[in-house]
Amino acid sequence: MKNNVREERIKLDITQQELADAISVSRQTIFAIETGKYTPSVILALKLSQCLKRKVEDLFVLEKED
Amino acid sequence: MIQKVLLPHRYKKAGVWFAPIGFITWCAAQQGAFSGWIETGSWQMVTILATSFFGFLAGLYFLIFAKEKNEDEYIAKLRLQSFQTAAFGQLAFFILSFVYIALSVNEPAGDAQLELFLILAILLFWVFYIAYFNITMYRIRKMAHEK
Repeated sequence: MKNNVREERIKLDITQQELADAISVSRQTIFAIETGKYTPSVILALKLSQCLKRKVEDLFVLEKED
Repeated sequence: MIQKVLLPHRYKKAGVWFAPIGFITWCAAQQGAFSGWIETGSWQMVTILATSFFGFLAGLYFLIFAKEKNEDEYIAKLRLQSFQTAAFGQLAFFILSFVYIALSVNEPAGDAQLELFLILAILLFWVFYIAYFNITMYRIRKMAHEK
């Protein structure tokens, strides 16, 4: 699965720490999501989508192998 | 991961002190470091051995089950991964040890050696868990900081 969290975060000009604080997770978690090391739960994906003002399917995109 | 069983983050610091101090004291007592002024087999020696060993176990418990500063679902996933790795590590240790014992030309030194092997096998699980979890956390923190 590919994600656009980093791009959307940069568009809104917020840091990893600010995004982490907004959705009550650690900065390491945001880093792991952005680098594709971790796929978040539905709850966290929805929180990210609310915070970044994008639909979940715009943030997370399925790839052929998924 | 059951979050309710986790201890507050402050226990981690206690674990960092308890585990090594308990382990070193226990090893020293086993090697007879206190035999100069405490008789071997006396109740004082038994108390030192029991206190140090249970101190070590308590330290391990604190290290394993203390929450991270920000315990979230990614940390919970890392904990599960660490349990899985620890289980594989322990299994590998069991298999290799049994192969070693089976192929060993020397006769095993009785129940004491078997007891030591079993205690080691149980403790190794937790040592693998602590090592894997903390190394992974350190690497992620370092990479996140560099980015």
